[in-house]
Amino acid sequence: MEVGKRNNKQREEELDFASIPKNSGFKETFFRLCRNKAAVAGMVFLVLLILISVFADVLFDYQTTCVDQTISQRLQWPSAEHWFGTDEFGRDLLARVVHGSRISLSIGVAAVAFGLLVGGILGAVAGFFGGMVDNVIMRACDVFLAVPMMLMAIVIVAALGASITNLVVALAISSVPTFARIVRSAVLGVRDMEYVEAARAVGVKTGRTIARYILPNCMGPIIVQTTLRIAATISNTAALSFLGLGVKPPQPEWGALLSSGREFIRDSAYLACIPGVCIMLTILALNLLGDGLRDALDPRLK
Amino acid sequence: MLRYIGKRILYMIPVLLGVTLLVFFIMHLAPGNVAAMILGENATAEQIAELEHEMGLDRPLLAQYAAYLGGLLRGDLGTSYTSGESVTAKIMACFPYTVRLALVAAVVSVLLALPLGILAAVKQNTWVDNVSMVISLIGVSMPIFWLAVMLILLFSLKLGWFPVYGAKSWNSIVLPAISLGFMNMASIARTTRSSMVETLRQDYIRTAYAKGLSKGAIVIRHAFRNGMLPTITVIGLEIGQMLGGAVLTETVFAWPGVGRMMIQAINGRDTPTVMGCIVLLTVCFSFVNLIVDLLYGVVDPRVRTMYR
Amino acid sequence: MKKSLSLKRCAAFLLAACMVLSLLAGCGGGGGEKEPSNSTPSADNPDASGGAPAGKDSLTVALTDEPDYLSTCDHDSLMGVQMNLLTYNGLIRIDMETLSPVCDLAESYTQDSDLEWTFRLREGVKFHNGEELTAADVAASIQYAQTFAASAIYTGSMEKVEALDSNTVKITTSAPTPNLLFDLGYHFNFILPKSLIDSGNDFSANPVGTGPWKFVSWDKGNSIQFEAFDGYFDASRKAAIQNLEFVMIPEGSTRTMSLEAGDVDFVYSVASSDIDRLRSDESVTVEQVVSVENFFLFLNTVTTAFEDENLRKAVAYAINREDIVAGALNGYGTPSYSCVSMGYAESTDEGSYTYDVDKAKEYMAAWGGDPSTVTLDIICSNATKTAIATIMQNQLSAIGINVTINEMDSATYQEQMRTTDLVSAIVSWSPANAMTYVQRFHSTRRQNTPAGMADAHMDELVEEMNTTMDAGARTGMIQTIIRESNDRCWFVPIYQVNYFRAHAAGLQNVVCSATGYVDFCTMHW
Repeated sequence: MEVGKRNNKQREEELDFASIPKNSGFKETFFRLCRNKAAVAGMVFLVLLILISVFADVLFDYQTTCVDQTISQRLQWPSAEHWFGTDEFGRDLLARVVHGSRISLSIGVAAVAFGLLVGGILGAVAGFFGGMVDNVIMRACDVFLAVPMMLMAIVIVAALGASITNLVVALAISSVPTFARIVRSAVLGVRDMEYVEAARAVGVKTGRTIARYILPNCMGPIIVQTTLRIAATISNTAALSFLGLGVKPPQPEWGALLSSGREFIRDSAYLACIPGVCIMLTILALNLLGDGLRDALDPRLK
Repeated sequence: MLRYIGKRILYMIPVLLGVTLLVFFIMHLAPGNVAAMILGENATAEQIAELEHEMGLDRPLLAQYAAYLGGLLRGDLGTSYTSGESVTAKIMACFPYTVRLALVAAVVSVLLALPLGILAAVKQNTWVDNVSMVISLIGVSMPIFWLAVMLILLFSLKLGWFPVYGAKSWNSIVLPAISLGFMNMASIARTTRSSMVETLRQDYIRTAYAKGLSKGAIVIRHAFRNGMLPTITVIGLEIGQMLGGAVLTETVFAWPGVGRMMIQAINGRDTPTVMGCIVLLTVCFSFVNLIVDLLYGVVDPRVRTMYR
Repeated sequence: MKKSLSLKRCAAFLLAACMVLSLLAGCGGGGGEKEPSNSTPSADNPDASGGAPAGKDSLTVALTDEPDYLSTCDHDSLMGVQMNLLTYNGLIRIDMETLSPVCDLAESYTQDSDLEWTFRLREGVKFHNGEELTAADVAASIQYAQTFAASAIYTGSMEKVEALDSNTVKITTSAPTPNLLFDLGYHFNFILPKSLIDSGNDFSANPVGTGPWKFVSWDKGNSIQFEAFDGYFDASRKAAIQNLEFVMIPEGSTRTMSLEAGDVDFVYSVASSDIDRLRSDESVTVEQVVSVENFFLFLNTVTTAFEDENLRKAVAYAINREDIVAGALNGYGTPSYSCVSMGYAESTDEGSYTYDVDKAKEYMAAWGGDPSTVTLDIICSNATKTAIATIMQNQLSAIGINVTINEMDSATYQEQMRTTDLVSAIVSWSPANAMTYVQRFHSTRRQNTPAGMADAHMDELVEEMNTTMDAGARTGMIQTIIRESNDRCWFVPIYQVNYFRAHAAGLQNVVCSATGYVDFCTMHW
């Protein structure tokens, strides 16, 4: 009989429910997303933010607003002339926030994306397979959690030099164990569900099982952690700049703006608070969009 | 279960080995000559070499590491390069403060975050949800020294309820714990909300409603427990982070914890102290992760198979 | 069950309300106007302080960093010396107001020859453990100090220290040493009990000396406690306050708030952003001291384009020091135009620089090179230095010099200074007197900073000054050295630090020295 001779691949192709074309395409997901007002607000904000950071040079001339100093005008509170006030060297804070958005967001997103990719794969593998694999990966994560980021940064500068890429690497390394543990716990909660069992019974390969069945059901905690890690990464960038990694004065960067406001927190609190609020709004927007996407893709909500 | 715990404790050994090896080599790769720093800028090259010899720093790296491990096995963490005291004494002077702060801050965090997250999930997409999201994001985006200074200005200077700095009296822990707890609650609140949102969509919740159970009973008895896995993970991660990384809080409130001491030791290239702190923190992280993993089994019976 | 939900709702509202309240509290404190602090010292608010109440017999001082050692020879840090001044004495004391050497444990001294000095000790001086001071203790202490490599500069000149009888000490130096009195006033040479030296006492855990304060306890990371020593030999400098406590508060704004709340009585180092506020607070007095510590731009005169004097001078004239002080120090510093700090008896500003961009451009032309080939890379080890460098970066672009700022941690910075890899650095330097200051111009300093200047003529001038015993002649020589170094511009001076210390207004007679110390003996409530 032919059945016995059919190979696994053919069976998989016949019975792989995941490859059945969905009714909902990209367009339908988009429309469902648009019904969620909060997600739309988030999307609009992010698009605006991207546009502002891309056209930063057009809005504010870098040299005159971010580099040239007017010491006599230092530490002025927001006014009609300077909407966000001036910093400790008399430079316009709004211009510096706008110019800083480009580099801060790219560094934040790149570092977290890298951390998510590596950490996510490690966590998924650890959670799914369990046993010795789980043990080895988790113990390796423990090792990296214990090493302080500052130490890692000093050594990266000494060994590899002080560039933006190395900054992203240092930041990403500190995110990997967190993502690994989060993804692992989410996978643990889902891997014994009936639909996973069903997929395996039918012969779906492990990689596909993880990618198509398990991970989409873990998106909640992953979205949350990703957006929060971006905020933490931006804050950490300043600490690493003090050690030489990454952004050098006079280039503006949100994390550096945050930390240079520390000295003036009592009389000129706006110096630290305004960048903080900008970070908060960005994270808020990302979060709303992320939640909206997850809801739009959730079949249970159709 | 006991076998599992035993195995995990045994696994701490390779982790400690890995961490100490990694950090040892990192400290030696880091630029900076501790003997020169101790002797000051007037020291000659001969004097520096002599001090290095005295401190055993001119031996091959692996020999130094082996000596350190030998000491570690005997329970001797060495002597600090910069202050000459025993590292064990130095760390034991600071560690209880760090633990106290981390635990109280974790309690504050959880007490703030859980209700916030559950409320946000139950009232998803209403203004309550959005306000609670903003509150939890304040902690993550605003710098901690801002919140700390605001708290001190209000509660110490204007009202005089709590001391400004330090750890002298019983109520010194309140402001630092509130700052630290508030800063770290975002993760817990948001994760709780997101898990609860997914759990509340499950069919068995619909069944419970249909059965006529009240909202509170459903939320607390059915939805809450089932969505807890990621939340427990995140609480564990936050406690771990607070144990080792509450440096800014400790600095602003002059709280004599391990975080600050470790940063000073790194700056001073005081390798024994750094190693000692990291050994301690590794043991702590391992225990926290162990407890979190055990709690998975308690909360979610499906996960218990892992422990056989 | 609905109750539990509304309870949760109430909790969330309460939380939001607390946040708003504290935001308002914060806004009230800093709306751009400088309102006088409306906090009350602890006399009115006894619950405010968590620690010991600041009564008339105790003083709580907030420090930034904890000293590593309470012993005399294991350190060379400012805070360490401040602690030493409490529990020990030397043969000589450097007076905090005049910065001149004054007899302390020595009642008198004579200089018998170029190389021989005899000191007569006071009678009846007691150590904290009851033992009486003898010449044997003096000899043992100095010999003990000489075993420490780091003390060489201050003890190396003394070839022999002998106890001629129980209260006469004879010191023989290997070469004429005009600086001997200053050296003896240095903490390495403070006197310890011979019996404790011989028994291997840990002077950091048990600092026994003859000083006006007795050590009580050290809670590491938290506080160090001293009490007044009743048996102190010098009645005019006996401690007026019974209990002295030092607490560690690393954050500037927290120190200020502690003082405002009355939790501490004295802040050793006030953050410059809080000076205005404290000055307008009537319950607080702010002491300002123009110190001799100065910050300068160190230049690699060996392997970079800055070996050319004209290029160095261009930089010296192109920077606006007033703006640097205003921008990086909130206005609280003294611009420095001369290579050696002003404030020493021998200081002079002959040949010093000004802010003159046109002159700077002339020097650039005199140098004749292409500015785009020169990058002035400045290494910085803390936020203040970075701020200074950022302002200089902006100012130097006016003469075409491109500045890059290289931040690094302190240990890496010190390592870089010991190489010739760096281009420039912002350095601070705080010697106790002009004689020590100008040693910097001698090439023996090169072994530690190989990128620094080395000039045979300067070496001659410094060596001559070192061996001149006559104070008047020495002054002239020091001034020659200063003029010469201003002329050659080995490094670019930026500003002299102003120390700001603040304390409760009730504390009287607070003496702060220009070298960075505070006299805790003379102050009283």
